[in-house]
Amino acid sequence: MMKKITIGIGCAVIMAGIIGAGAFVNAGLTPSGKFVKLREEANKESVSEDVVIKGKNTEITEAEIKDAAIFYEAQGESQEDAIEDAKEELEEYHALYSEASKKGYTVTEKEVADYVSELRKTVSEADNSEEVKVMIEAYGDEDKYWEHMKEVYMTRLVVEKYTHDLLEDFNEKYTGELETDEYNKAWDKYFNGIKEDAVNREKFKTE
Amino acid sequence: MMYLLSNTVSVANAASKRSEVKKTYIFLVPDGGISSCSFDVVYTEDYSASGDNNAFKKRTRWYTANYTYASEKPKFSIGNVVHKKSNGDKIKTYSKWGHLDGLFPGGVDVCGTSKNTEKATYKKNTKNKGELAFSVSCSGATLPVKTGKATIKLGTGGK
Repeated sequence: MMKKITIGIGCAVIMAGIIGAGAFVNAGLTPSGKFVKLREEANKESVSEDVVIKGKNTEITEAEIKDAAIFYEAQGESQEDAIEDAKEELEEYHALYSEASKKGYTVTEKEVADYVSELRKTVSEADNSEEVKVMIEAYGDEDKYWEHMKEVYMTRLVVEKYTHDLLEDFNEKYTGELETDEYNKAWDKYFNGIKEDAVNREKFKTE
Repeated sequence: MMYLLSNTVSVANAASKRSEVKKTYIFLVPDGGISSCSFDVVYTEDYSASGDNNAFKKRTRWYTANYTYASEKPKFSIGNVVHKKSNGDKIKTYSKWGHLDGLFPGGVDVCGTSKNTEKATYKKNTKNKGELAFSVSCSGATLPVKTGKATIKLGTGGK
């Protein structure tokens, strides 16, 4: 019995050492540095495209959640919290897509291809392009990343069109000075309300 | 009315100094896409000369911004103008801003302009400077808040 306890304590110490060493290695990294490390590790794992959350009109896959969780984990959240935040973010995103589709927003493949091509140019010319390029490289092959973006933007561009119009409507009604802290707070309140309503209407359920 | 683009414009003993900053920041975000904020900030100081001094009577902030985003809009904020000594010590923060009519190009998501009319007088050869700070951040992105400023040297030469 005593031997088992000793072995158990020994294993716990070794595990704590391994986890501690991992934390120590990550400790010196910036969130972007951690993102790159986590992203590269994730590339080695197999990806499940199983639907794990289903809404009335949209579905969220396990792969999407894992990809999104990396962003939150890189910012210091525990893996569990990161998964929860990723689910919340993706439910909002998909609910906005559902709303946009219902309101008639659409895109064509040609439109998306042109948009992604322009986006690639914007990334290369942006003032922080170097730090973003490092993050994109962490996905592996850069050309494949941009090909994948064409799939992502078949959905995302629909949402972008919708949220762009929401911003235009909001700015027309807002009477104070734009781009101040007060304005940003007012926008958050307005946009969060829209996202909350959209998520409620979608009635997401875990599969 | 003429819209003058040169850095220093003189009319009789009245003049204006101008600083402009244009930036585009991009953010990889958890939904799998890329959000962006492109902006143009213009800061001006109007002054008139009197003997060895310059009286700074009006300052303006102009800005335009364009965004791409899905579920989290990048946040772009501009601050107050701060006059500082050459060693960085704060002289005064200008926080009272009033409406100013402005003409902007089309195709921008957000634009605005405002003015402050509090007076400050400095020697013409002052090393003081005026700063208009701005910041851009994006919730969910791993990149840190981007900050910067438009800066105007308040000296105009002289003894």
